[in-house]
Amino acid sequence: MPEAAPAPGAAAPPPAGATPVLEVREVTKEFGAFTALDGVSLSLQPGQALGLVGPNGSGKTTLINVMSGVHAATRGRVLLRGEEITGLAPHRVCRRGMNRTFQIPRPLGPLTAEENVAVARRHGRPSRHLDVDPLGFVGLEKFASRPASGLTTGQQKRLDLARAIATGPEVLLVDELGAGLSPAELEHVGELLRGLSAMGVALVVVEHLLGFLEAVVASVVVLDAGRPLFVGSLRDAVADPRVIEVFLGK
Amino acid sequence: MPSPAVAGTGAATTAGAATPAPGTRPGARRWAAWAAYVVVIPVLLYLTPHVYNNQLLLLNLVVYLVLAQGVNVIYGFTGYLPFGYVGFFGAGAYGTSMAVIHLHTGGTVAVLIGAVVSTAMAVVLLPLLRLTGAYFALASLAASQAVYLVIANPSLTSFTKGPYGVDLSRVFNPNLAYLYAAILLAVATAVVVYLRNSAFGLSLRAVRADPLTASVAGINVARARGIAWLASAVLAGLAGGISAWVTSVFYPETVFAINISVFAIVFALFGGVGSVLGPVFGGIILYSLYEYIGVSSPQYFQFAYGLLIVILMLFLPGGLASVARAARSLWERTGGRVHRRA
Repeated sequence: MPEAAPAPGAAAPPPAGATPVLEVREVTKEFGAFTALDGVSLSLQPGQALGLVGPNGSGKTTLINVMSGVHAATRGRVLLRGEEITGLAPHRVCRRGMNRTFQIPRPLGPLTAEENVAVARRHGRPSRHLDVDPLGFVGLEKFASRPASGLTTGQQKRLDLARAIATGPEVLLVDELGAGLSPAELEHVGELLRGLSAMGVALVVVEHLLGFLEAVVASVVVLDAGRPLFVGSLRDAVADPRVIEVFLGK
Repeated sequence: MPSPAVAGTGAATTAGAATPAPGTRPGARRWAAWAAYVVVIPVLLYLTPHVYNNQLLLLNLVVYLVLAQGVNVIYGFTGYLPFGYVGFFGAGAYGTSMAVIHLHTGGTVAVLIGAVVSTAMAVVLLPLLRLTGAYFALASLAASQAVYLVIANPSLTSFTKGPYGVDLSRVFNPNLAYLYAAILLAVATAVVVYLRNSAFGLSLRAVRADPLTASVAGINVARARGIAWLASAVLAGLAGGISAWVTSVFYPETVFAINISVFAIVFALFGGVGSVLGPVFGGIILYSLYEYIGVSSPQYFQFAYGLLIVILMLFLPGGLASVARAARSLWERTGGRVHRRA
C-alpha cells in the first residue's frame, strides 16, 4: 500500500512484521457465469482508513458482503488479525471483530433505536476499542425510544453505524454511508468516521462522493469489473488515466 | 422474512406487558403483573368445572389456549407461520399413546414421552426453517401430513395401531389431566412473558424484523429460530399428550386434523401475536363462540364463523392486543393531563 500523504485515515506506520488487522487475499466471487470479484487483495492496519471506489457494478458491495460473511467467496481468503474468517457466517464475523453498515439502511424497524443498539451490544464482542455510547456517538440519543422505522433515512444510516459500533469492531466496513445525506449530515458522518479511525478502528469506506472520501481516507483501491485497477492515494487516483477512463469513458 | 397476508404482522411490538428499556431491571409491580398473567387465568380455568360442569369442553379450551400460545411463540416472535403445527400435537398424542400401550407407563410419564417425541420431530424438521413465508407454511403442513400418513399406515398397525385408533382407557384420569393442562397453560404463558421481557426475546424480535441485520449484529439467527421452534413443539407435544390422555380412544385423523392448526393460528391472531395474553383471550372468546354457534345454529356455523374471522381480520389486524394497547395509551394520556392539573 503506498504511503498516504494527508492525515485523515492514515494509520501509524506498522512495526516491521506486524500482522495486518484485515487481509483479503485473491478473493474471487462468482454468481453463476458472472464474475463479480476477480482476485481482489487488500490489507489494512489498525486505525487505517481505506477507500473502495469504482463505478456501479464494479464489485464494491460484493467485496463488503464477502468480507462480512453475507456471501461466501468462491476462491480466496479473508483473514482478521491473521485468523481465517473465510466463509464464516455474519454473526461469527461480527463476534471476531468486524462489522459493517448497509448501502440502503437496514434498521430493525419495530425495535427502538436503543433496542437496536442493545441487541448488537449483547451479541457483539466486548468493546476494547470503543469506550463510547454508540447512540450518543452518532447523535441519536434523543431518539433512543423511537422505533427505528420512524427515523429518517439519514438517522437510520447513523443507527446502522451505531449498531455496528456497539458490536465493538476492530474493522468497520462502511458501505456508502454518505449517499443521500445532506451536506450537514455528510460533514457529521465524516467526523464520526475520522473519530472511529482515531480510536484505532480500521475502516473500509465504499463511497462515490470523492470529496467526502478525501476527508476520511488516505488511500483508495479502485475496482473495475471486479478487478483492482488502482491502489494508492485518492489524489493520485483521480489523476490516473485508467481511473478517469473507467469513470468517464474514453 | 416471511410476511404472510394475515393479521399480526409486526405485532410483536404490541403487548400485554410493555418491554422494559434494554439494560434496565423491571420493577416489582411489573413482576407482580407478569406473575398474575401467568397464574390467574390458569387457576380460574382450573376452578371453572366447579361452576360449569363440562370438564371435557374446558380441557379442550385449555389445550387450544396452549396451542395458541405455542403459535404465538413461533409466529409472534420469529414470523414463521406454522400451518403444520398440528403435527407436533399429533406426535405428542401418539408418543403418549405408544408409551402407554408399549411401555405400559402411567399417564404422566406417557405425556412427557409424548413431548419428547414431538421435540424429536421438531429437531428432524429444523431444516424447514431454511424456508420462509408461504414456502415454510406449506412445507410444515406437508410434514405434519407425512407424519400422519406414516402413523395411519396399516402396515404399522402392530406398533401405531394404524388407522384403527388407540385405546388409552387403562390410564384414564381426567381430573389429573385437567390439572396438568392448567399448569401447562401457565407454563406456556410464562414462556411468552419471558420472550416479551428477556434479551433472548429481543433477539428473536430482531430476527423477525430483519434476519440479515440481526445476523450482522451478531445474533445466531438459526439458533434463535431453532430454540423458538423447539419450545413451540414442546408445548404442542405436551398439549397433544394431555388431550390424548383424556380423549382416551381416538384415531390418527382426530389428532392430525388440519383444523387444529387453523384454530390455534386464528385464536392467536385474533388475540394478537407477540402479546402475552392476546392469544389467551382470543382463544377464550373464539372458542366460546365456536361452541355457542356450533350448538345453537349448527347449520350456519361455517358461514357465521368464517364471516366473523374475515371481519375481525379486516378491521382488527393487530388483534385484541392492539385494542388493549390503544386503550392503555389513551388512559395514560388522560392520566397525564389529570396529573398536570393536579
